[in-house]
Amino acid sequence: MQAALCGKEPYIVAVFIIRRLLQSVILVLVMSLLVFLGVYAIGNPADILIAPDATEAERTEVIRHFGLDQPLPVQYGKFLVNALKGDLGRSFKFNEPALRLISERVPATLELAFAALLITIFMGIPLGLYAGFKPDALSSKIIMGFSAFGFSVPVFWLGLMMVMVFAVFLGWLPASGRGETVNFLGVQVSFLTWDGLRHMLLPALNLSFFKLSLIIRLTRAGTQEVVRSDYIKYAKAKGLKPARIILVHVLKNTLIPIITVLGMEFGRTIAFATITETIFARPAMGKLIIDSISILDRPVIVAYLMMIVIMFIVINLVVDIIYSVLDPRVRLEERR
Amino acid sequence: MKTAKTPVPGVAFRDRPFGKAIAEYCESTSAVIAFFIVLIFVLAAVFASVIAPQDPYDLAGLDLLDGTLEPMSRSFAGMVYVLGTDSQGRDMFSAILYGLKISLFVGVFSTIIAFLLGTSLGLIAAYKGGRFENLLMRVVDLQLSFPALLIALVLLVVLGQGVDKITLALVIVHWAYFARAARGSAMAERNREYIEAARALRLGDLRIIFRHLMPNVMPSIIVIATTMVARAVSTEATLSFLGIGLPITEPSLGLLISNGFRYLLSGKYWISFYPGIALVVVIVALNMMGDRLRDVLNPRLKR
Repeated sequence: MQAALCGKEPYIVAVFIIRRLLQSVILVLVMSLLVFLGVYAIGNPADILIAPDATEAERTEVIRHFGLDQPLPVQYGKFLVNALKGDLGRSFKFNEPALRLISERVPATLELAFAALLITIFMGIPLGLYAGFKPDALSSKIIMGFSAFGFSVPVFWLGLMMVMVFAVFLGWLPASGRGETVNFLGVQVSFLTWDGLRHMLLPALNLSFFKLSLIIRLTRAGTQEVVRSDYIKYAKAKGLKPARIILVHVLKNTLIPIITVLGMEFGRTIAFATITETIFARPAMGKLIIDSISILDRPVIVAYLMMIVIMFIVINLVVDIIYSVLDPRVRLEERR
Repeated sequence: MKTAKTPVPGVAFRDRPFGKAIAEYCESTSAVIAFFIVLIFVLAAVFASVIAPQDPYDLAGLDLLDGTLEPMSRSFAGMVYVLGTDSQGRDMFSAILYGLKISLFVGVFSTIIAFLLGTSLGLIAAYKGGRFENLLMRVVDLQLSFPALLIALVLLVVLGQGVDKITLALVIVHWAYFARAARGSAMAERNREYIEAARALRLGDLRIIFRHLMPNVMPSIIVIATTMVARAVSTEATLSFLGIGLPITEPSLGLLISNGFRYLLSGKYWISFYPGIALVVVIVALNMMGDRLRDVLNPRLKR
């Protein structure tokens, strides 16, 4: 069986990737229809856009201007054609292309997400290693208690408590905004200024909390498993320094599942950034969508949802492909 | 499940599988405490209108002069506001009790429907197999690859606000977890002798699925159900906090927290803080119960 497959290997992988790609394209189309129909079924933006004291002529003019008088299939067709040209409509509120509005705010979300990811990695892995090596120590129990807490508590409540303690009562850190930004390679970033970093610390901690708890658990479980294995006993018997055993032998073998999870968690981080950004009033992508929902700014809602959907489909696709290359069983199941 | 949980020592009871599970559950002190916390909160929610010193949504009973009073302060009429008041002079303790009622109702009700829907579909898929199973599991996998919060957000954008709408959104988000778990457990059971025997007796498919398969799958589903109530409460609170969950007329805990957020920044912490504490205590207690139930009911650890 194994030998028979070997020669066809690249071919099977190619077929798998092509099939997954096609599935993803169909999925994007289906989701675009769902998002479009869904968002366009809600409310009537004309009521919000047009001042109550506008004349009938002004009303029809505005409705015609935004294309709201056309039948739905025509509106969807136009939306699809324009979307392929990279035009996802103009925001009703800002009268600017929705895509530009969102992409202006992408750096603010991305730098926050990366900061959260860095905190997760550089705090989670050492803490998890420690708790794995000394499972009975009091400090390990505290770490695990913290992890269990972070696992179950809502993100928005933690954010609120952070604002209350560090911004209101202690006054150490600012509670809202993005702080000072500088131009870096053509985009406005705040992680290069001291003020920007101060504004980023609390939201980044808030966003990393769940992931931190997850990574601590994963690292601890992995460490406990690896520590018991024969090659660690052998390394100890050989007289290797503990530091080398931890850094090279244990860490290397616990990292594989951690990297997989972190990759998949990234998409979740972008989604959960909506909460953190709303609490800390950070002018970023997630706050834009929440604001747009409350004023029924359809083009922005549709553009945001489409971007998120595509991002997730791409992440899933990449994860699937990587797995299919690494693990032959996935492909075989597909062929069944 | 809940009513029968009073620990009754006695050999006969302990020997029955149900009694054994309860006895085992009670071995963990923290799990028992968690159970009683949940019980107290559920009772407080059910009898909110009896316990609450004030009807927080009867505008005639509110006095604007009592607005944003600190905890333990006394009203003009001599009533003590244990947890302070909000900007409209509403007693926070009463508001929390009423909020708890809405939060727990949405959480429990949506979990029950998701449980019925997901478990049935998962069991039928495992029993029938074939195309239906493939299709269902595809949908489940696809849905679980997106974060629950994001799906709920999209659904609520489309559906609008309201108790019925958020319940529907939570059902759509959570049924997949039940379907996956039910199918997973049923896969192991479907080739057992008792199913074969039931088939040999030519019992109907539905009867085999719901009378024979389902009881044997229940332990793992109960564990999921407990955690799902916690998650549903948490998701509802989050969405309401963001202003897209429940409308102002249905003030759940999340909405109370959201309303108090503005005042938090000016140091009037209690309007947001106490509803938040109530929310977190419920969620953590439910999760602790779920963890203990998983230890007790997990067949993999015992057989």
